[in-house]
Amino acid sequence: MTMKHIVLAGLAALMLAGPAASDDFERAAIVMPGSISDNGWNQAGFEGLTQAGEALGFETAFSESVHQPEQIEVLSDYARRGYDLVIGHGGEFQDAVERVAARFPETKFMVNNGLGTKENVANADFYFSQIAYLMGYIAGSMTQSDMIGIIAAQKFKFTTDTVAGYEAGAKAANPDVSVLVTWTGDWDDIAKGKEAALNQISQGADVVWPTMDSATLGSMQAVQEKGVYGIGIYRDAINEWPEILQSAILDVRGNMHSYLERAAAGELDGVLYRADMSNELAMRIGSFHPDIPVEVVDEVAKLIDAMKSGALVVEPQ
Amino acid sequence: MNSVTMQCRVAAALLMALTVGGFLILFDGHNPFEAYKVLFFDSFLNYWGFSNTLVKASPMLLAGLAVIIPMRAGVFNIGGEGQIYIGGLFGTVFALAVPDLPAVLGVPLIFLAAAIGGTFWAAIPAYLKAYRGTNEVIVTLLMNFVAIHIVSYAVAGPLLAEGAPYPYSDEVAEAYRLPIVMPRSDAHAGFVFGLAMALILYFWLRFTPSGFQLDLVGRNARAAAYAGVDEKKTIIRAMLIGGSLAGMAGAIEVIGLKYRLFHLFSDGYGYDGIVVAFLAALNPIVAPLTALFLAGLSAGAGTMQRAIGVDSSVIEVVEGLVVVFVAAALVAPRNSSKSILKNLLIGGLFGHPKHNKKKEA
Amino acid sequence: MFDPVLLSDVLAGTARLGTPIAFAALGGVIAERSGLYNIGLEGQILAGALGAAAGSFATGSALIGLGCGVICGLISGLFLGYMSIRLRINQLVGGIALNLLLAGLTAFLSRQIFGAQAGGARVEGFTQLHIPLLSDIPVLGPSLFSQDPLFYLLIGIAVLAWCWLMKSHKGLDLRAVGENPKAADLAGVPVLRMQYLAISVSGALAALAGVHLVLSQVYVFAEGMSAGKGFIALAAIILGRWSPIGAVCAALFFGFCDAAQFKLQFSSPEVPYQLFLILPYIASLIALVILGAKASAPASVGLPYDREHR
Repeated sequence: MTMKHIVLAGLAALMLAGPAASDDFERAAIVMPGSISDNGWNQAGFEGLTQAGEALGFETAFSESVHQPEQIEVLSDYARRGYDLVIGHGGEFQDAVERVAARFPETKFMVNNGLGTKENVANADFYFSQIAYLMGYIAGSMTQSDMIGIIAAQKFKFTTDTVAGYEAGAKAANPDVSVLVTWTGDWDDIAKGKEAALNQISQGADVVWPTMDSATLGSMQAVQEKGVYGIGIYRDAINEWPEILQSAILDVRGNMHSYLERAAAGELDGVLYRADMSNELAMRIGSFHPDIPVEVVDEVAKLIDAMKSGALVVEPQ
Repeated sequence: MNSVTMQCRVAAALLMALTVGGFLILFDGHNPFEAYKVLFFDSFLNYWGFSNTLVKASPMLLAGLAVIIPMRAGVFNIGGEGQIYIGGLFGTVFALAVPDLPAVLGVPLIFLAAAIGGTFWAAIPAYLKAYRGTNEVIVTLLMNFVAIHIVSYAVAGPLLAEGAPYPYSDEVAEAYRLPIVMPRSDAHAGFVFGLAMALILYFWLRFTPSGFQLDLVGRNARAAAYAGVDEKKTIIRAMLIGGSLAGMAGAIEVIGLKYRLFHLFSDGYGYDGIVVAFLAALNPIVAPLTALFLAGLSAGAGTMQRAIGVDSSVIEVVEGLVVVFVAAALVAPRNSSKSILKNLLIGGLFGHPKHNKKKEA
Repeated sequence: MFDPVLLSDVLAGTARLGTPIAFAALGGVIAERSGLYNIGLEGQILAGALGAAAGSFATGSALIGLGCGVICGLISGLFLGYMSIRLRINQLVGGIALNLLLAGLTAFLSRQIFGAQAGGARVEGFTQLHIPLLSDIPVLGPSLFSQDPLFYLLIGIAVLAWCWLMKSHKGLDLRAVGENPKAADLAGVPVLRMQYLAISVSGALAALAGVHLVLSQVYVFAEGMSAGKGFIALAAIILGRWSPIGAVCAALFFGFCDAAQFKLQFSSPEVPYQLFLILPYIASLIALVILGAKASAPASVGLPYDREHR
């Protein structure tokens, strides 16, 4: 948790502290598949809720390491205890949330990275391929071996969109580039993450993008040990790893803050709240590595503008 | 030792475990009494809490039975987890392939498909054990991992539901879903099915010749051989039965709770079954009780976290402590007569050594 | 496929991924040879990992971290011994319970010690040790002779353990305890004492696996970082036929499959990645069937020795 994040969250709170929390909105809970200290997706969700709660003035609760069989039980429990908003943190909760939401029409539900909205079920996600495109573009521009890599845990929409965007962006920058894709099957096994990265590097990749949770740490260690470049996710990783070219800051906290604000004002509808490059609070790029030439930086800025204006539409959406 | 003394010992053990755990809860900054009140009352005396307990107890019971039967024959089925996965897979594939049958026909067929899946998965270690003496523990353990990945592939690939944000299959037809036994909750008839199985197995073991043979092979393979019992066939039969039970546990999770096949849909139920089996002293009739107990502990742990805010890591420790203390209490004191049961409890691991000796005979 | 760089990589990966499993398997062998099952390897790996991380974090010295990790392992081994020997709890249940306990305890303590930055607190570890001359050999040099010190320690301990177990007087005593405690007792071997020692050492060895993970591989403690290695070690023990060297070889074999799996993913991107993930297990199963690992465990393993009922 860097100073930058605290400041950003505080600023966001100040800037967007428009309508005060509605009297009806008192408690919100988040249900997460992993551990709150995973340095990745789950930690972001946990912090997103607790920080928003403090800023906007409502009580929060969380459940971590909730696996498939327990989802319905946990979600129902919060709804029964009278929580105003119950968040399922991850697409794997979609099904369970829909089931529970049907039973508790008075409670609002949210699925982060979900895919399906109802009257009282909203979704929030990111335009993954869009920002992945930018990362791919940078990687493709910077590679000297014409080989880059991306490491992901499991194959589903979030990850496959990211991979597709990354490949598209890389090819746009450098038609000769090859993109190595490794699926580790695991979000948290640090040793596996390291092994996967070492493998890609020994195949010739000189830019590696790990997209897991705790396991990312292992990959970045490999990047550092072998002296190649990396790409960050969720946070401006160059603060931790000087080898980072750029980061895809999927600011889960920021995204959550936006919709929690609406929820607090009683304005959360059963729709998809997608964060894309036009919503800088939720999705933005980080700091450029000093090695990146000015032309590339400029080109990226142009791409971002094109994305914002709608001139450049990245698939898949 | 009589059962009253046993109950006292178990109660004392529980108390000790909770006391030790209580200190940890205190250290975490919460009131242990509050926490434990939630743990027990919510799991067993609260309508919703009990329904959650029942949900968890269903697969645990069947998984426990899946360990008990092979164990009584002297074979250690640690592969319940894999059998659950493959059973769930087979059951789902059938349910999705043939969606239009009436419930009366469809549900039993789904269970059958799942049983076949679990049996198939248990058959490999069973035959390897019987005919080549290959240690069944390692085979079943390895096959657990394989099973999880097979299902992972299936639900992310051929079975993936249209537009799913996570690897899962389509929903099974409404007709196939198990009836709910506690209105407005998720508690389905799976536990009832498990109870029925427990009763059937109890009677089978105690009153039928084939059941008796199973026990004999487990206790004294040499005597069984002299009595003309085919040890190989008995072992295989025991493992296959175990596999089918675990497979059906998988089906229950799919048509009882989630109504779809998910990636990682069993959260270690196969391994919970081992604890259920041993706490029940390998007696099928007692298994429903120990399954309820373990399930209540697990469900209550979650409630403790949600209601009071106790850190989930502390809860894991408390669960471990309870298992340790209660298991210790169940061990008969030194000067009681060497019961056959005691030998089964402490001897029947990783293939009873007596079996190994017999190979050389 | 026989490209020297590739081979060197895979060998290096084998050493890296196989070492933790090998340490745990060694621990398991020592315990089982004394007649006790150690199913709690998984938890003991975590205990060693946390001890190593905490020790190194507090003092900045990797060696002290190693010492702390080993001590945590010894204690957890002793505890398992107490449960199995004194309380005569079913050894399987005891092991499972120990895993639960340690998983929770290490997570809890790590949150207390490292706070919210648990997943990111870097600690001082061991760096690679290049053996002079040998590390210049092509292929084998960079992979096998430029490893971290714990890898060399593993090889050393494995050889020592084998010599001790198979050739020394005390080793014979231990094996006797595992095969026939009654006879050993009558021959004057202190059965219970040997079992306590064995299980404690077992815990310490398993903890070294955790120490390796933290101080030689990833330099942090992460909850649940043992990731099933303790269970794979059980398979390695059996595959290695309860011999210290056999178990280590089997563990390294698992490491090899794991390392090769990533390479294979690249060469066949259309094949579902789950297939590659199961390759190590399938390979082991096949090896098992071919080598015919019969249940040749020590004859009295799992049975608590009861002096009064001789």
